[in-house]
Amino acid sequence: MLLAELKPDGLVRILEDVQKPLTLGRETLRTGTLSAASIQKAVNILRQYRAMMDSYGVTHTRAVATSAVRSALNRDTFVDRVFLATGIEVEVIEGSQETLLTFAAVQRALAAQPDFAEGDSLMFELGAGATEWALVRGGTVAGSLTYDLGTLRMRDLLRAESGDRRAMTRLIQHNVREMMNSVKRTLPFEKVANLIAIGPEARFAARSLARTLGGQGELAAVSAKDLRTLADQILAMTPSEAATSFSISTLEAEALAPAFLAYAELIRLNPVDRLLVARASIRDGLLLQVAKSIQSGSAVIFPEQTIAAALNLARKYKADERHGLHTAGLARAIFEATQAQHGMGELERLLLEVASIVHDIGNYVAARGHHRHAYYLLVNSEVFGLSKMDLEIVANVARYHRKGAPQSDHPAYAALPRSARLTVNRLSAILRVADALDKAHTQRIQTPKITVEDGELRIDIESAEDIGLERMTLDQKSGLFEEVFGLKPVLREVT
Amino acid sequence: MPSSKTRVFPIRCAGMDVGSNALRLAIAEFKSPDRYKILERRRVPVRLGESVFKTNRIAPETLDLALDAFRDFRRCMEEYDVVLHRAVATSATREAKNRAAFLERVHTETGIDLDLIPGPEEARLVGLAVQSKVRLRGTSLIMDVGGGSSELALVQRGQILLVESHNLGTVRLLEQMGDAPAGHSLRILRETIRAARFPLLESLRGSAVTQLIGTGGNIEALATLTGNGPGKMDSGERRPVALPLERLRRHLVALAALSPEERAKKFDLRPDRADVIVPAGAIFEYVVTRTRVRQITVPFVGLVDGVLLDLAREAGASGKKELESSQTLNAALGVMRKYESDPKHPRHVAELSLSLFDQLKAVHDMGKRDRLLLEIAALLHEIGNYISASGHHRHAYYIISESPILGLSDEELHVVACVARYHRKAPPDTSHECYAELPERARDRVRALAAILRLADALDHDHRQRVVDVSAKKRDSELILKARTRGDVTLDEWSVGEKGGDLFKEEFGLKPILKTRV
Repeated sequence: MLLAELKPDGLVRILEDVQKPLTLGRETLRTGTLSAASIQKAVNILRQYRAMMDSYGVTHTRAVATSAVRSALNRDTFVDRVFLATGIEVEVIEGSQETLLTFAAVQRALAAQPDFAEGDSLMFELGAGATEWALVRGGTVAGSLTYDLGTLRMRDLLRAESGDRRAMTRLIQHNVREMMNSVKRTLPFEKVANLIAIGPEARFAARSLARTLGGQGELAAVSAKDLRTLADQILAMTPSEAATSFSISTLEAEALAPAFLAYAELIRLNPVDRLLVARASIRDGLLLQVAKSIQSGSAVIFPEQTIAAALNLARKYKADERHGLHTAGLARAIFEATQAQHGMGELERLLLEVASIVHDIGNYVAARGHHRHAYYLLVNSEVFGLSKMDLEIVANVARYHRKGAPQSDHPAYAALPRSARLTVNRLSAILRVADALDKAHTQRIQTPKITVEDGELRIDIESAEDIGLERMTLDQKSGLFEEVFGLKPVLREVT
Repeated sequence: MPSSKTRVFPIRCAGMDVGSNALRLAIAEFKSPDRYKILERRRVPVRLGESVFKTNRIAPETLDLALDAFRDFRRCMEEYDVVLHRAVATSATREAKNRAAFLERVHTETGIDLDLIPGPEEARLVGLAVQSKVRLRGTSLIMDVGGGSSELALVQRGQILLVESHNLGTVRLLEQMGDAPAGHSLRILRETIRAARFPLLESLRGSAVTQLIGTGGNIEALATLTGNGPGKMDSGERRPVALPLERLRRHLVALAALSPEERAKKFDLRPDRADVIVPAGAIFEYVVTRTRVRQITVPFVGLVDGVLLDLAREAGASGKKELESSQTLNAALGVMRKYESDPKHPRHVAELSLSLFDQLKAVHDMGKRDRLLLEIAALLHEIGNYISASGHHRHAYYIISESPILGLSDEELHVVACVARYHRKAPPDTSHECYAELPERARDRVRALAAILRLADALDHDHRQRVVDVSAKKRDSELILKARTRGDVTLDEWSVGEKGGDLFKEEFGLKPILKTRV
């Protein structure tokens, strides 16, 4: 737990930083559920935290649970039990959100140190099941990627009876190389100035090997050679010997050697002369987010980065960026003008903008059925800052930017929870109108004045150009909007 | 070349084109695969596209008209003693929700089987027809504007490099423009067309095209709108003519200013030509302005002629067939290049796959066509990485099944997509929809080809092409692979032993063993 005070000038002062050991992960991995005893232990710890929070008079709290709880079959029981006993609402978050929060904290730490603020930085967290990547450029995240390679699988390979250790080391190196190829394909960078690892294994390496660099121990550096030597040392021991010798759990000990081999390979491949390890953890990110939302009142963490990520995706699939951005602007204007009708919030507005930017990417696969292709590409992509469910909504909205309206016999749509389906209906209705207004892809309808009056959505423009095409398209494509909002879009020229 | 195969000539063939705007029949006598004389041409104005583009179904009245036409075609073929025939159906039929019922009725009532062909196949056939009439120099763009779609094909030195199919068709445009204000219609048409994207034209940036060929009834009508009709050639067929851009524009503006009835009267056009001629003209106008060519060559051939030529080739020498498989391969390479930045690994896996295929003929007993499918699947097996590395085998399936490859039938395309999908992870299983929906014979092909691909892929697991080549010998229940190697192949060896051979063993009952010679 991190407990902090937010100063009026926006500075955050940490008051308490406490950690209690409890290894839920191994249990979930082995049995698939959390035992009553473990839940009780967790409740006991959280009760103590509750007491501390009360004594400080804490006003804002955010508590999250990650993979161990996420993959437990009885996770709802856990969450409910904690709430009943302590009043703390635990949010179970996805791996990508987890990393997002940590990256935010690291990015901030990085920005504070001029030596590392220059050039492209690649941040990654080699997790148990997957590796999360983010490219940081000019202080903001310019792209992100999740790759299915984690310490669990590597550990199994190292242990496997079938091959000798040399072959397994090769295999890990090969897998890491493939991962790096994928990172290079997906994230737009030329040369990496800083390679930054986060996560418990990286912090372990930093504690054992590193010199601290500047700041208050925010960053540390380790070399490939030292990492390999340390990996060899660990591999010479059994996991339980390693656990005893470093006073960590066996599970944690087993992840070390594969992680260090992977780090060393990444140093070699990039190439960089050292690996930087960031001290920041998810808790720092959470704190940052709580502070930010208190200040701005916003639930959306990084809207600019999310938009930048959407633009990257549009570029990758060679969609018309100007049309996408213009449609996003028009969609946003309609969204705001109809605020009273739909009552949707900032997150939905962001999803609408993202969907507008990427709605045509399916053309890359084939013009025929490009709305369906957009859906496929989107659900299999990543947009920084969006959860899987957010992305699923964006993909559906893009899918419904043309052709048949959402209907319950479309499996991808039907699989959504009801609230998400409503969001899809509303946002795709808006997107269709916005898209129709830039049918010619010439951006000739600029800054319209949009108002709601007498059952109409009035779109008033001052235009010298002929807008016959847009008018006709609007007529054809506004059906869904009329159904969803009960408003008829009308394009009016005012002089 | 006196071979038994050439003895089939002379032969009478019939081609049928079931388009969105009309049904066409052509009957010809072939002296050789390339020399032919047209005996009969018929065109029946059944507009399948009209109801399909509006309601997604072929209306019952239209269906009856079509059946009458097919009965007539049937009689005509019998009169001429036609030996081979093929009927191809394009976008209107393809998109009709009740197409299965339509195909069924045509078959039961007339015995004619309709072949649903995708846009690129349409372009290939038109390309064949054009080349029989016009000598193509430099880089040519062939453009066929139909009722439901438009096809573009880029041809260089007789080889079709790229094809692109668009949903921009004349009947479809008319349906969309239904209530456009009169007087504005030409402008709106032009803008609708401009708003549609033509990646092929964009990638060319207009400069490279030296010749533009236009096919379809509309451009033929536009080319002969005023003045005398085209001259005849010795074969009795019409001679190609050139239509300059300025004249096309003049015609277009003049036609657009009139109602369809007035056009029909003034220019002596059939009523079903008088309406679609304007959208067609506008599409051609747009494409011409996007290239530096100032005129359109109109060869007076179309899809039916391509179908005829294709039939004759099939009947004729197999050398032609090989030429086409190299075209198919070219098309597949086009798809690979779009998604693959570094094709060293897929190219090497393709080589290893073909080498295994050839050496194991006695084991798998598959033919040339299967070999081609294997080669294409190997070249494309990694393209899913473009979307995302996670699940990239499934993404490869998606991309391939949505990227029609010239010369492959729908079924073959799905076989290729499945083989690529099964290059890793779970082996083929009927719980996978993509596999289950294939007919039995196609499933057998998928399993056998995927088994070979997986083994070849394992031989280059490290992606470093260190297993240069292999010789494969069957010994009892083992397949001994002797490999010539370059560098350390620990990983490839492990991969063959670990998982590269699983499907192979299951499929052919042979366990692959890799032996390295240094």
